[in-house]
Amino acid sequence: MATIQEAMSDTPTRDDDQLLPEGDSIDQPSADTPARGYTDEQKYRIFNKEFMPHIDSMYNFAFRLTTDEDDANDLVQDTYLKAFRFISSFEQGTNAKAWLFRILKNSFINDYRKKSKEPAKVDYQDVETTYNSEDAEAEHTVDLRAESVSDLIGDEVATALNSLPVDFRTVIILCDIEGFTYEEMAKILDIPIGTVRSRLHRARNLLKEKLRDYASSMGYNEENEE
Amino acid sequence: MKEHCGHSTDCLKMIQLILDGEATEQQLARLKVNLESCKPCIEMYHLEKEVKELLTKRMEKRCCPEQLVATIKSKILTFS
Repeated sequence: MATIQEAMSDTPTRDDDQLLPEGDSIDQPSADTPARGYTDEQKYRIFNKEFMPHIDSMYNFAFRLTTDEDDANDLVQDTYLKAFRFISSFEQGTNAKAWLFRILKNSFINDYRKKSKEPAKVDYQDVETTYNSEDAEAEHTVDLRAESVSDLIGDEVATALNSLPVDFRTVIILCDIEGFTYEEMAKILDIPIGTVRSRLHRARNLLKEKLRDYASSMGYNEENEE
Repeated sequence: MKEHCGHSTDCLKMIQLILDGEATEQQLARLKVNLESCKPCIEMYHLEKEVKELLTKRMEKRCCPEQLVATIKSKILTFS
């Protein structure tokens, strides 16, 4: 049987090191818990019983991040192969879904975001700065009524969501579509809970602006029609 | 009924915590009061709830292609 080091040798170790520093698996009670020595049989059992049931959610997450079927396929495959490789840092019975989502999110940032058309980080920083300014605090409610969005269909919501910078899109996917708690999101994204809360708040304001534009262009809101 | 809310930003943040199931008992109690007395808060609550439901219920859920599941399963068999 190959050791962990040998198994890792065919992967870009920089990414893997960032991904799962030893003993830093999600929900692990203590950072110095030694890696678990699962037998091959146990590894396959964990993989099939705890990892595979989340594959549809993982595929949806990958597709919403990459907005491309081929990239989503590759990303999900990379993530599951990494998960198997690092299975010894997963503790049985802990939150497998959050653990897998974290690996997928890191793989996306390290391997996919840079080759996608999206200007990495730049637009996010801009938006973050804008929304931190005092002006933003003053006009924090978006002028939009529940009735104007109630007729929107999934495709229209998806288009609005896809137009958000990826970091904002991600928190909305994790919270509203996948139903993770703030605490789980903090672990998946490696950010403090306070940041989860504020990023989610800003993401939703942006999404509502997009929905408002969409609704008014569709004539749902006559007053705002241009 | 209040027609204008003087702290709508804070109220909005609180409403989101409540809809996300992350609010404290105290915040829940405060929202209850606001939903009986503050018109802008009622409207914000309905909008936030509607947007969250759009995301939760109306977005297309895709299934992972079976071919990909098969590929992953066969690849991990060659690992150890």
